[in-house]
Amino acid sequence: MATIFQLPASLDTAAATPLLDAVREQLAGAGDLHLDGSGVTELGQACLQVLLSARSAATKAGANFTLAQPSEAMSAMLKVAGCEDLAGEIF
Amino acid sequence: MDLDEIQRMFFLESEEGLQALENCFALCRSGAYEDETINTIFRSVHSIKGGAGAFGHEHLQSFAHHYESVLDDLRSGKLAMSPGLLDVLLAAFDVLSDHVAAAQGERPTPDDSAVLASLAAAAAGGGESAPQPAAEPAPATAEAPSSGGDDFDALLGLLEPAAAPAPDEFSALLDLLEPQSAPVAVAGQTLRVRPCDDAFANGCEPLLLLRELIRLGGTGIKLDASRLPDLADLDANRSWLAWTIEMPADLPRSDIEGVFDFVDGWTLEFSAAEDSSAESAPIVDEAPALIPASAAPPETVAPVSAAVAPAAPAGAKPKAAPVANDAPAAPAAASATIRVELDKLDRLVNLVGELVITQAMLAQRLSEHGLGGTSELSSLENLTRELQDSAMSIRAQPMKTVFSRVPRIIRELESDTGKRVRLQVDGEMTEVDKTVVERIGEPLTHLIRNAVDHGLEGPQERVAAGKTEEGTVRVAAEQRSGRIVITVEDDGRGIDRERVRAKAIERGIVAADTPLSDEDIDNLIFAPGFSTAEKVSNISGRGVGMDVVRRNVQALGGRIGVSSRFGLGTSFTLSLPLTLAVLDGMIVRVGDQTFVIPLGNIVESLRAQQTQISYLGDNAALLDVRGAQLPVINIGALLDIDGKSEPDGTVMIVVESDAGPAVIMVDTIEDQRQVVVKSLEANYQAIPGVSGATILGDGRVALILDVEGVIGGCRRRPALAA
Repeated sequence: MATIFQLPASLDTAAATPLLDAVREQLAGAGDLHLDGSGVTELGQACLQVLLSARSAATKAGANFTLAQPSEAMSAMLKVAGCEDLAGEIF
Repeated sequence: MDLDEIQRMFFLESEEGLQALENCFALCRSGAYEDETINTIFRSVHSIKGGAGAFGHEHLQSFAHHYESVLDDLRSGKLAMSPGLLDVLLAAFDVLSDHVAAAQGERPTPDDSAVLASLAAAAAGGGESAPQPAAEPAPATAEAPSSGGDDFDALLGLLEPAAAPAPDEFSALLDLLEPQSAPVAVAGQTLRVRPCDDAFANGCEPLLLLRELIRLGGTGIKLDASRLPDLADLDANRSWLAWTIEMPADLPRSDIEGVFDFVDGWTLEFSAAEDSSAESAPIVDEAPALIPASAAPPETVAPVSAAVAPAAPAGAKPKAAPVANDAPAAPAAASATIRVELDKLDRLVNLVGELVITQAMLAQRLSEHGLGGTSELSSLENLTRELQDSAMSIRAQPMKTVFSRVPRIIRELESDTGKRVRLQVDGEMTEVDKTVVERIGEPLTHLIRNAVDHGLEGPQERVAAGKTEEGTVRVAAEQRSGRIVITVEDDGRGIDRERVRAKAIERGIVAADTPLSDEDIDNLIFAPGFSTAEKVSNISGRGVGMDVVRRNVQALGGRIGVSSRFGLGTSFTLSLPLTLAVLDGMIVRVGDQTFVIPLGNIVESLRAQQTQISYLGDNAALLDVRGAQLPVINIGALLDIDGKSEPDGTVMIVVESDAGPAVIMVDTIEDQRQVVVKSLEANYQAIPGVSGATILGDGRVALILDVEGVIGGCRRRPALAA
């Protein structure tokens, strides 16, 4: 069964580097990246970039990328950033 | 520049904006306002809203948004100014000030629900009075009308999660009442936004600015992630994204640019909307938003900061005159002033102080060699004095910065007490040192509260006394012989001296048989623990106020006086030095020590005969000065310095203090000059009876006597070694 990576509540600029390290590790290990956004209360551009780049990396590697159950706050910021499609996508 | 600095700048500008608002509302209250006054109010609120959005101050932004909506209606003529509307706008202004303070962490977030409801009612009222053809009926439900409902729903849907968490009934109501004013998706200009690479290093969150654009009516946001590196190469701390967003055609570009007021180095590119069906047209600078230009090139490439060179998009035809003609005149005016950190200013003032000291040393050295009268020396002296005055004037600020808070205090007092108050402010452009401006606010506030709470009568009592229903409080500032004199006066009931005297006796402040002049009785109100308020109110009357006021004023090197006429009013006068950095003083010698006595305290100096002295016990003496018996203070004995102890051959300096006149006995007077004050507290520690130190021309350090402290101390310990 695929491991689901629980996104932290605060995805602000300070959280971007740890997130980057975590998704790199996840992609290098399991290959697939399954994220759970239900607990996210804050999303900034720095973390959004990491998620977008991770999706792109997963696609290129033929792996799966999912962002499940994005919280309201996360969905709202994804809308603001013009990338609502990030959530729920499976590659 | 980091986030804190940028945010500090935002708060600074917000404070300025609030002051501008206060001035504009004063004009509105007097009826002397123009369209531009309303425009200024709108712009100030709008800029606060923009900054609040950029820094994530949700409550402030949300409130400013609602406030701005009503102001916009007023500006566009949909609402007409009326006394009722002005009251609502003033109440909203006070809440806005509170929100700004809350955003700075100075107070909790205010409850704005009542004011928001008043704003909504005011806006709705205006909507009724101004005919709006084809306006949708105002449904109470969230269901949008069918016509154009999709766009509107989409907009609300987009806004909702980004707006305040609670359902925003106000917005919905306003927008539904006047759908034509809502920023529906009439795409007219496409904006491309690219945060600078190190946008995060500046502490900024770009998504919050995008959200602000959406609030301004932006739609169809498209992400450009083409620069985003592969995951392996990604630097998470740099910005790689850009966006395009369609902004409404009728939205002034300045409003859009205002969103980016507080960020540096971003690239903004405006171009006409891609979906416009109209033919291309020549560019009209006055109305760039209306260009129906499918083929028009991107009009401007405008980096937010001039520090970053604009990168023209490929194929773009640069305009001959890249400086937009529609740029408001304000920036040109704004460039006449710059912001300087206070530390830098203080360093300049300090250095000038050192220069003054060095110049005095040079003068002394030259005079020792008989060259004291050279013209070059006097030129240097004049230049130094001018330089010092200029440096001090940079720190000077108009009293307006303090006085601008007074109208709000009065408004609050009016609503708390039910009294009606007319405020008269004079001399608000009088300039004083920044330190004085910063520290005078609290005493002044207390005096004003006191004037309204204790001084002014209620409307009925005033009418019964043959006065107008509305009381007057006058706050004035003026420069008088090197000092600033601030007056707070009211036309109320005046001090009831019988009551004050009775209260003072009751509280044991004076003995029942003490003979007291009117002035003495008036001054009793400054006694610690004195209060004549029958019941303690939350405005004043705790009896801790007036003595604290006096202490604060004294700490500034000032004095406070009161004069009153029963039934006609009371006047408080604060006399303060214009600056705390230099003072005019008399240089005196006691034994081998040199002291400076501030000229502000000195009444006269004289040589006394032994016959003028009367002794009271072993170590107390009185000097007869034209019939008045004044206590003599021997500085030498007081400070344990080996000075002259007999009046013969000494100099008696008569000084004035709040504790009354007294005589300071010194050995000789050496000079009278302006000295640069050095803080003892900052460099050593506070010493009772000494307010600071200075460096004399010969390099010696001289202590500056705190006359108030010395006399106050001697009241308990008179000292003249007989």
